[in-house]
Amino acid sequence: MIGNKSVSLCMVVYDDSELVEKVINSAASIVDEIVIVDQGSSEKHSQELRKLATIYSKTTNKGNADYDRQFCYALATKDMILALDADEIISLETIKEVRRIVDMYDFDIMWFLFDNTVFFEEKTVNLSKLLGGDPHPRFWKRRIQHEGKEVTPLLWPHEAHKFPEIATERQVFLEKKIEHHRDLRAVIKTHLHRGKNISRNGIMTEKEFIRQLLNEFGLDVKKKVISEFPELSEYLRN
Amino acid sequence: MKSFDEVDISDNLEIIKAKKALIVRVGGLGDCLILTAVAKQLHKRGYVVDIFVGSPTGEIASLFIDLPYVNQVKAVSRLNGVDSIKDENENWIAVAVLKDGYDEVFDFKNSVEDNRSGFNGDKGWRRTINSNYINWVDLSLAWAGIDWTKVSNEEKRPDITIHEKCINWVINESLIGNKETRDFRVIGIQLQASSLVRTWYRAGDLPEMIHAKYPNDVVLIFATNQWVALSKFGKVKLDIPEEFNLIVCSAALIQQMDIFIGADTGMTHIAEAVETASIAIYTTVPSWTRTKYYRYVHPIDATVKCAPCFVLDVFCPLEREVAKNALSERERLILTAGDNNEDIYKISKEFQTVPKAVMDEYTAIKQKLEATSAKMPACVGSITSEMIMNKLQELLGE
Repeated sequence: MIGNKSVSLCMVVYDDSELVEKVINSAASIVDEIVIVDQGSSEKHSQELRKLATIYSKTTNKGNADYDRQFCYALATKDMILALDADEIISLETIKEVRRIVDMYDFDIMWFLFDNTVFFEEKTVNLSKLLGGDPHPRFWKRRIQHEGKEVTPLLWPHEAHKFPEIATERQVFLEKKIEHHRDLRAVIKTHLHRGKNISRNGIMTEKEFIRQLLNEFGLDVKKKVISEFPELSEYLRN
Repeated sequence: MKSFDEVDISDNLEIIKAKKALIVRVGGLGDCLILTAVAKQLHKRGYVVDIFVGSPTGEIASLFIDLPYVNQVKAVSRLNGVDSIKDENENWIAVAVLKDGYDEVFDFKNSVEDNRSGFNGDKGWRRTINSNYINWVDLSLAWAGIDWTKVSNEEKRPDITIHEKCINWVINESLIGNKETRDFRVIGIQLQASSLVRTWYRAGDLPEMIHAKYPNDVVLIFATNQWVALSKFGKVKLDIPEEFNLIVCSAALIQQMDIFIGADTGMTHIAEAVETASIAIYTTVPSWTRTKYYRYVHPIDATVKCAPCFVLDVFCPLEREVAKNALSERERLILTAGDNNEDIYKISKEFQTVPKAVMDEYTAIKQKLEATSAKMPACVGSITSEMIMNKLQELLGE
């Protein structure tokens, strides 16, 4: 609960049950229900994820969480939805500020800044130079009244890198951050095996992001990554 | 029997709580300034009035902070298209959320500003009378449910407050000094408006012309966010201390000017608020829509047949059409495809090139269209330097 509102933590995940547990622990003090949409994890991870969830649904691996986002949020039953990915941690300090804002204002959607970092072995790169504050909506009312109807304030598209349709101006932009810490290998793997739910212009943007990210890591890491993922050279060339 | 000190007098009092009113405006400096007339009237009707105000011109909330009929002023910024206010912990809270705390909200978002044909759909004033046909202060009062015919002309004039440190800097530390005591005159010029059709393009020659005619006086020119003084000692930039708000300091400078020459822009309204005589140039809208109740302004209206066209967009609609017609067939096709967000791979195939080249070409065409539309409209051209010089001479009494 937060204020007098119950909270569903919603996650679309693939494997990574240990990471998912960490995310759940970070948000445990405000969460009343855990909704997990499992995009075809291995049996071992699926079993663990099932144990962690209040509501669990297994779908298939589509190479991208975005296909199943709105589906996942539709399974939630509580007043508010907190959406986190398997590599996103919400700190106690951020939760404290969320509580303060909930007590003061009746908002529909809360945005957070992101502290995006990518690591490769010992080296970590902060992406603020590439992505800025990277604000995203992550906490919202499950249902609102809009033009005489009960609707969801956010409608997430299937397509990757697209912001949701927003039906309300009642928004709050928090200065506190969600920590988003990713493994470079996982980032590369995801981008190489993208589903079809991304526009061609979106793929161009992603390729540019990977190029810049590898530049940030430097030549040695770039060489190592390309030797591990030989198809990466071809991906970046086109 | 209780002694007098023991009696809780609150038991015997009926506490009447004043209603809270909120005025919201995000727009040009002038758009925001005229709302002081509305705030004043609401205060007179028993409201505690807060103002949330924001402008692409800069931080203008400071101009309203100490107005006696305003309770609280907050600066609005637009985040992801949502007008928001910063709270004490640096979070941004949507104005839509903060409105909950008020008995009445007067949101001017869909009023005077959005009177362009088609721009505002069927919301706000789109289908009603708008500021092209009624003075915009009257319109703003009407929007707040106030009968403008019952408000005196004097009370329809704009108000501002200027921080004392800025006034002191202008009088004691800038070369302008105090207009009551100095032995030269100061003529200010600011002819850039937020849109090109309301900017007077010929401003380049005007300072020299004024200086040649009045060599013992100072011409103060505002361009690209700085004030430059032209006098018999040459040209010198005014170094406004970094910690000062540029707009508030500009207001303090205008207050000490003898005459201010402006376009249809915020500083002309500041001149009125600080009771400095002004010459104001109006091109696409008639001056009475802005200055009907002003005491210190001497407007010059465009005299060409197409004026007033009531366009508030960046470019003259006639020049925009000419620029569009001058595009080649290929440019027109790429522009349409880009504007309609068509699949870039398909388009690049059609033009036998790569997506990046199409993207670059699209950007270049848009830039070309902007550049070739930015020609001086006939209405701006109809106002000459001589007209301004004659008016200036008339006002200076020479």
